[in-house]
Amino acid sequence: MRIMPRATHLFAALFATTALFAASDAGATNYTLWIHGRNTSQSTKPGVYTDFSYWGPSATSAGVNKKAVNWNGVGHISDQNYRVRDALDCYCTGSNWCYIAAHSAGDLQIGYALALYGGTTRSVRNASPGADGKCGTTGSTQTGWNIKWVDVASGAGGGSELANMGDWAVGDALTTDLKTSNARTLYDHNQTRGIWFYMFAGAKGTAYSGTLPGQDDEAVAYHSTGGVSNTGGFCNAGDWFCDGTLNAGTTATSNNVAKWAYHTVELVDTGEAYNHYSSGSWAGIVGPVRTDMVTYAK
Amino acid sequence: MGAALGALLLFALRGRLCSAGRVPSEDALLSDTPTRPKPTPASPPPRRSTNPGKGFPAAALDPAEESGLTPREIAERRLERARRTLDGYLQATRYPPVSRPLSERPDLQNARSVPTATQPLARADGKLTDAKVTLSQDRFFLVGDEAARLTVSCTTSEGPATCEVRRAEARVPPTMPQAGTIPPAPIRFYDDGRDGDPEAGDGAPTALFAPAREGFGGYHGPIGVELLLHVDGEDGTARFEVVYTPAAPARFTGVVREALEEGSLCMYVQMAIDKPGRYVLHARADDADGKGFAFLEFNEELGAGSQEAKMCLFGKLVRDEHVRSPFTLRDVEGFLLKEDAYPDRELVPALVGNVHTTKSYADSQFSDAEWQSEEKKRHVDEFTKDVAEAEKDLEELEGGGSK
Repeated sequence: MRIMPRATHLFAALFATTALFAASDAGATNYTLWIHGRNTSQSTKPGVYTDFSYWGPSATSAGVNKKAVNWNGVGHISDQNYRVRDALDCYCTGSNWCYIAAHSAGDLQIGYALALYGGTTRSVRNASPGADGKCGTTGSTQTGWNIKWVDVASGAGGGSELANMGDWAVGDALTTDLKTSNARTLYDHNQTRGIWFYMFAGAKGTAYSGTLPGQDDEAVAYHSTGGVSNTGGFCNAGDWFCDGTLNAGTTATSNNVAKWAYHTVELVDTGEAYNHYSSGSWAGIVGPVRTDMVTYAK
Repeated sequence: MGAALGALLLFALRGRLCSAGRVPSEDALLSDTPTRPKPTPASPPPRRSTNPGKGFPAAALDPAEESGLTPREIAERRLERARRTLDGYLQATRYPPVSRPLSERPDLQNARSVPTATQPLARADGKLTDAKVTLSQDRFFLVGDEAARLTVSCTTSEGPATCEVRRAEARVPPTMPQAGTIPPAPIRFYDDGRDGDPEAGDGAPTALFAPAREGFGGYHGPIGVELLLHVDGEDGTARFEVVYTPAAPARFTGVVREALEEGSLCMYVQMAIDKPGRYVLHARADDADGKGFAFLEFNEELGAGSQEAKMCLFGKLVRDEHVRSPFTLRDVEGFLLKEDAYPDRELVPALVGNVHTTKSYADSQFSDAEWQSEEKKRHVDEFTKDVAEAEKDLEELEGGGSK
């Protein structure tokens, strides 16, 4: 057995300790990734995983080792999805695992990534991002990402009729993707690689109730936020002038319209308490999702 | 009684009382949202969940304080979530992601599925209309010489109404760079039972829109068909959208060979590939009685030239669905996926209808084994660990005598 000189031994210990602190993100670690929605001010910093400005104060608890997955908030899903895939490669490969939270068009982002790229070969990365939001490679690869489950706050995976009504002359690229036909044909919403989507559907909408069918949170209707496989006017039990009731869990609507596979409704806003907006303080429908993350994402 | 009737009237007229406006950004909605009461019949109390009600502060609280649950209740719920995650994943992965029960795809039972879109007639002054417009189209993506059948139907609060198409025009959206170079094209809608219209005089006009014939032949991207409509005395607009591929990157030759491999029936769909890349394909399979039972996917890189896309009826899926062969592969469609681009795909012309009928097989020739893979093992190992940790946490709490 070779015996190390004292100086070398000391250096090795120092190196090991330094490496431990420098690569604190590099071991088997759980992360919570927050994927935001439409953001016409383009105020978030893509690739900067500490920028929670879309959501609220960054000091607020929102799941273990939370990371903000920012993108420009106005571009086509297909153009911007690389930001999400970069984040998934960074934090959800190798021995690291992720809980995902998505808001609004963030639902389209994670859905698109899983459906079209969830079975592809990914480089295992070291959870240490550079300025461009990409992390270093380790030399290993794996199929898909390590995701436990996805919480969706007022998901726009099914689009919004507000986008259908939109004025083309002033619409941004994302608005096109948010039209109900576009959103629903963009990818196979049932292909989640077996990962469950927990849908949180808000109903505190008033101003656009003539445009958005059934219950809505002022931007997106229940058919989308509830993960229903077809458009329609879905409401809370007892509401009038609706096509059907949005049921909790995986149960189809009362008029038998099924949900997408692996989508379950975790919150039906029967009290009409939650609107669409985080309002810079983790508010609206984002609130219950944040609490869910705090409770379960550890 | 008067108050109740008044509330009912207010509710019935709620659409008319609200201003639709143009498409708002979420930012604009934050500043523009009017505070208008929404009269509805009384709603039941909020559903009990781990989440408290509105107005929740954004302070950094621990889970017990946030949720109002005791530590033991939180531990129980975490265990429940962990078990649900593991059990759900095991259930989902009895079959591979690319060979699924067709019942899991309620919206993709057939090729070219597009949901209808129903919305208010869009008035130029932005005010909400009594008229609603339903847009139906037989495809969203089209390629080459294909045509999309576009049908518009209308209703008012009194029931079905005649849609009068006063003008219709196809144009490239302003967000596309070609918007200024490709002129708009007039499109004719018919309600005479001809030219693609399924029923004469039903008040629901139809158009067959073939981009290649209307001046969009070299263009790749979205095309909007904007209608100026007159419905029961009101004028407004509605818009269809399609995404067009001028030249297909590949085509299905129609040749399919089959092979029983490790207890699954695999079908090799032959393609002539002009542009190599990642192809995403979907297909359906029917049983001997013509009942659909499987949804198949292919998502792999293919090189140029003659290639085969392998899609398998997984053995356990066949066994669990209790279906008899011969099976029929039908409605095969797909596209070349273009990463980090818009448009993100070039469409391959679909094979709609029956494409291939297999030989007959005995049930025993299909394996009953569940799908296994490194991806599945990785997930099952992690989710099993999570359950064990959650059980241990709960045991420690119970052992500590927590309330």
